[in-house]
Amino acid sequence: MMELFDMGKYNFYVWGSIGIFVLALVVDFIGASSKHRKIKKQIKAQNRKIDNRRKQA
Amino acid sequence: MNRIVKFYHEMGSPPSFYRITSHWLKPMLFLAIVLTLYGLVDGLFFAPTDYQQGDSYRIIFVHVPAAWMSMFIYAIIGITGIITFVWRMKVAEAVMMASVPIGALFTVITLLTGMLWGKPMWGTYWDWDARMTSELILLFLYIGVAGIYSAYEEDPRKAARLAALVAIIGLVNLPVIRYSVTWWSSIHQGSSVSLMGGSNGIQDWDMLRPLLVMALATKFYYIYSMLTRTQTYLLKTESKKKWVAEAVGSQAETIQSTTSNDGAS
Repeated sequence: MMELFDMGKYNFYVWGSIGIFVLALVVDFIGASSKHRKIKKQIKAQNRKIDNRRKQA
Repeated sequence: MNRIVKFYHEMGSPPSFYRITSHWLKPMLFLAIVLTLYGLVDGLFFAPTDYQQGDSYRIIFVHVPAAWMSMFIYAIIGITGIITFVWRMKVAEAVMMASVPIGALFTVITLLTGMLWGKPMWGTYWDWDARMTSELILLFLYIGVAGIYSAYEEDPRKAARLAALVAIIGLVNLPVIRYSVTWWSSIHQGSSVSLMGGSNGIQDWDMLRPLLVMALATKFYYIYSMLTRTQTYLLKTESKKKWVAEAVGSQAETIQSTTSNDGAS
């Protein structure tokens, strides 16, 4: 099984490249979804503020 | 034909764009993950070893799809840039700016994996030859588009128009990258895949298949990431509108009390 993962003298280069690729996409995924959630939260909070002000007035 | 026209108009309006694309996100992500897993396993373990480059050629399965995407996404940015500049369409602005981070990321992947491939094959991580230099310029163009936008961020519509101008001028770099290995003598190898089925490049279907699967996987991932960011952009720039309040699920009172404008651009 392990020899399947063995790229001989190219181990570092091949696995390094795959690692960079996967890591970059995971970082992008986390970044995009966390930003999306953050903005939704912000807008919700803002709307709640407007609501409260209206009620007090 | 009417259907297509209707679809086009719907996609141009932020609320319907948001509603329609919300259904696409999960399938796109699913396809991207499944195809990436299949492509990587197929490419790393099942594709035959190259007779000249040994196992090092397997870097192609991430390097080439990333390079294609770096140019494909820039082309999208250029096209949406033209739409932004000429017709001032809000969704086009959103798609343009949403594509920048993921495009820049694919350019970085291309450069880094290229360096990791260059070291064992050429004996150097970097060489200032045409292919590498023009790809590096592409990265600077992505940074330039994002930079111009953030400089005018308080006025998003103006920021998008200025960013679009930079993006359109930068389009000239795409054919330079594409033909750099033909126009100049380069240490970079020629194209691996040719649409016309020429005699150069990969002949073996077992090598070609994972490459094409990975190309598809990166396309689907781009669609997922771009749509997510486009939605974020639309929520942010239209945050005062009624449809946004509905989309984020605010209380009914807010929805009634916020402006009656329902956000068609």
